[in-house]
Formats: sequence, C-alpha cells, structure tokens
Amino acid sequence: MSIFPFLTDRMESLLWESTQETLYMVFWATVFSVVIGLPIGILLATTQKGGILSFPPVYWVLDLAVNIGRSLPFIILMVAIIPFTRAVAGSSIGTRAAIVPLAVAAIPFFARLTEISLLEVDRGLIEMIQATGGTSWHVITKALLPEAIPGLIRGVTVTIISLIGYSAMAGVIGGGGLGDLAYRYGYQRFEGDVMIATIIVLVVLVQVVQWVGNGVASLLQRR
Amino acid sequence: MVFGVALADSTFCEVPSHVDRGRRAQEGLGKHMIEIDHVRKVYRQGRQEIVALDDISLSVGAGEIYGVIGESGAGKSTLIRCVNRLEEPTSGAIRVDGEDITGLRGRQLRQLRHETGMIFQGFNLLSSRTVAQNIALPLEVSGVSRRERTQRVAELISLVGLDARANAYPARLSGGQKQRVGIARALAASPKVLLSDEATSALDPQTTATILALLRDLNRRLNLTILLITHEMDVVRSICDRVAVIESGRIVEQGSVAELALQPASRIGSALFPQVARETIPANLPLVTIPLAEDADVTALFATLRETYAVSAQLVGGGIEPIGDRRLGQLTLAIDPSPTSRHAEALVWLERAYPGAVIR
Repeated sequence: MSIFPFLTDRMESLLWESTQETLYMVFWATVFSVVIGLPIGILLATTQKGGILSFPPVYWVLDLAVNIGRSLPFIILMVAIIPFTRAVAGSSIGTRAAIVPLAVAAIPFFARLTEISLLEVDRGLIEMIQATGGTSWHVITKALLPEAIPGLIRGVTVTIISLIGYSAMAGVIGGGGLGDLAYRYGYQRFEGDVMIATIIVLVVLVQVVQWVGNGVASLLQRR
Repeated sequence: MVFGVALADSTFCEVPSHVDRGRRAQEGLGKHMIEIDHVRKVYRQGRQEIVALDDISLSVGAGEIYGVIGESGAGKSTLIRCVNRLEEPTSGAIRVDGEDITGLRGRQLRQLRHETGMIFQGFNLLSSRTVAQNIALPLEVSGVSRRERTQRVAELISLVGLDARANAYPARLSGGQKQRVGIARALAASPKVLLSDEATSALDPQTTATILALLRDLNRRLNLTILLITHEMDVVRSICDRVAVIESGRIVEQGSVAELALQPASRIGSALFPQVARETIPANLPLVTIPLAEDADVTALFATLRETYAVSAQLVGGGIEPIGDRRLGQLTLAIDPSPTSRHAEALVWLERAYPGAVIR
C-alpha cells in the first residue's frame, strides 16, 4: 500500500522513517518545554511588578534569559549549545540528542506564551481568591491556570508547530527527520518528488496539530 | 419574597461559628461590627501624593446595612477594600467585630478575609467552574472536606434560589443569576460581614431590585451585617439603614437614611426626592420644601396657610418614597407673595412647624 505512488518503495519507507523521527523529536521537545516552560511562565506572570508574588529581581533575570533564548536563530543555538547537549543527552549527534536544542529553543517560547495567557486572566478573579482568604498558591491553581487553560492549549499548539519547523534543521547535528530528508534528497539530489512528498507530510502534520489544538481549546472554553 | 426556597433553621447550625452568631444576636443592637477610625489612604504616584481617603470615620452596627455612596473616583472602592485589607490603609484603625485588623499578617489576615464575604460589580465568577463549584471555592480554600462542601453548597444554592442551575457554567447565566452565585459564594464561609462592591451596578433596574431584596432578606434572616458601596441612590433608598456620602476621599454627610430623608437641605434628603429647579418658578415666589413623615397631616398644613395667614400656595413639586420600611415625602410649595396675605409670617411658621423645611 502506497500513499505516494510516485515514490520508489525505498524512498517511501525512508519518508515514513523520517516522519517518525520528526514526531519523536517534536513530541519529547514539547513535553520538556511544557514541563519546564510552564513554571517559568508562571513566575514571569507573577513576579513582575504588581503581580501576586511581585519580586522584580526574579522577573528581570527570567525575562532576560527568555529574551536571549528567543533571540538566537535556532541553527545558531543548536550549534552553540553542543557541549550542553552532550552533557545532557550523552551525545551531541542523533535524533535523541536533537531533542535538547529543540527543547532549549521552545522553553522560552512556551514560557512567554504562558505568561501572556496568565496575564489575560481578569484581575478581578485574583482579587476574588484573595478576598476569600486564598494564598498565592490558591490564586495560581484555582484562578490563573484553570482560567488560562484554553490559552495554554493554544500556546502548546503554536509551540508544537514551531518545533516541527525547528526540527527541519536537526539534520545539521544528525537528528534526521523530514527536513533533513527534504534537504538531502529533494534539494541536494534534485529529487523533486521527495521534496513534494515531504512538504505534503509536513503540511498535513501542521494541519492536524492545529485542528486538534483548536478543538481541545474550544472544548475547554466555557465562555 | 424574591425566591421561594425557605431556609431551614438548621442550615447555619452546621457551621462552627453558629455559637458566635447566636451570641452576637443576643448582645444585639448597638454593637459595632465594623469600626473605621480616622482612616487615611495615600497613594504615591511618582513624586505626587494622591489622597484617596482623608480621615474617614464610620461605624456599622451588627445586623445593619450601611451604604457608602459617591461618584466614581471618590474613594469608596478603596474604602471597602481596606476593610478586608485588599488595600492597606496608610493610617488609622479598622476594627471588625472588635478586633483591630490593620496589623493582621499571613494566616490571621487570610482568616479575616475568609470570615468576610465580598461581592463584586463584575461578579468575578470562574468561567471554568460550574455554579456549584464556584460556590464551593471558599470552602476548598479553607480545607473543608468534600462531603461537607457538597452539603453546604446545596444549602447555599437553595438560599439564593438557583436550584435548577447548580451545574450550569457562568456563561449560561443571566447577570442576576451570576450575582446570586456571587452572593452564595460570599456566604459560604458563614461570614460575620458582607462587603458589597457596587454589586448591582452592572444589572438592569428590575434585576437590581430583586438582588437588593435578596440582600435585605439575608440581612434579616441571618442577621448579616452589610457594608456596601454604590453610586446609585436607589440602592440607598431601598435597603440601607444608614448612609455616608463620600466626596474626594472625605465623608461629607452621614446618618440614618430616614432621618436624612426628612432633611431636604441634606445631600441625601435632596437626592431621594425629585427637586424643583429654582429658575423654573418666577423669582418673586418663595419656594418652601417641607419634609413629610408618615403621620404628617397635609390638610392641616393647607388649612393653616389659608385661614391663619391668608396665603395661597401652589404645589410645584415633591414626592413620596418608600424608604426602608417607612414612607416618607417632601412637598414643595410656591407661596403667593400678594400684599393682602401674611406670607412672611407664614414662612416663619412653616420653618418652625416643619423642622428641616427649606426656603429658597
């Protein structure tokens, strides 16, 4: 059974292999960026001046760190942190190793999106929790996060799509994936059909992610 | 009655503070539940100092509904937030049920807030929670067990007449229903005091009336002390026992609503009734505004004017309004200054016979 009849069997199996590599890298990078980016985003939203945990020094440091992370082009970041990648993943090349720079790039991105979502929660709700005798922890867990969930889901969606884009560059450190396939076969070997098939798979991936993300977000949106 | 559900007498016996509540009720009248004592609040904006509250003193008796009325920016919002310390007073003392709350920190401060219900102009309901879950929130915060929460929430939902909507999300509720949820949530922890921050300002007049009736009803049944802020005279008219008028951070008038209603010269007294603009009546006709208590005999008034002073008068304005449980009024007469009448003496008599009468 072949989805792309214009590809040879070998190319098609290479295509599915690359798709799996992309999904693997994107999946784990997303997990890490949410797990680490969410708390950073919460701190960004709450430690700034006027926030419930107002503590500007923490905000400045995190804000600067996030800005630095966001200002480096992914290809530069990936190469620049190779020693770090080796320390974390045990190797600086391969699909598994590529997860490290992908996560490092996506953490500040998702942290910023989290901050924005949390700041959009009505301040009246924060005041309400405080007026019932709630702690800052209650404000975060009972008002900020639950009310921001649709926004956070949309943030995860955007992050996944960005990661699909970044992962195309993972070939530089031997990460494989769809981008690498398109570059090596489609571009360097002038195999236009591989290029087209890769683009189709990428477009479908992005569509599905966006569609699922929107669906989940609007399901959880009670407004 | 605005809602048909009777509150079982046992409802509030479930909560640990019922003993206190009973004792408070016995100690009864004259006891101050909230005392605001020379409170100042100064904001610093760059180099500028903005005085939001300037030497405010007022006290709210147990079981009383006390209204603070003023225009937006007058400081009333800051004032009510000082009572549960969402705002810090710069100086002065605030006592709630005899306890000075200005120095409370951490756990004690949260306990104060827990025991002080608050309702808001914008309702402040969590959109991700149902009616029942919204009402349960203060109980979750204070660590009440799930079983007790469920039971207490069911009582509260009945108390505010929302039985059919327990599992609805706020987006599906009308404004009035949202505020009922807000009220039920504010009462969840059986507070001594309810703070109402413009609770009806976002509601249409009819809904406002039902919410005010609900507050009045809760005030009577639970002996709940209510401090409210508003910019609507109707709120003061229909439910407040006493009122303070606040202007640029200062109290410019305070007293019992009924007493102020009988003083046409007071701000409240003139705002509660339709007033006659002086320039709409010829300048040579003196205007007299007379307060009318329920027992005022207007036939005697007119008879005296006619027979004793030979004065003829036109009725140019006035009104009768229900004020709390009373029905009070003001009457504005234009006195005919014809040379044949003893109109000057009549005016002197009116001022004496109707204390508070205003001559313009």
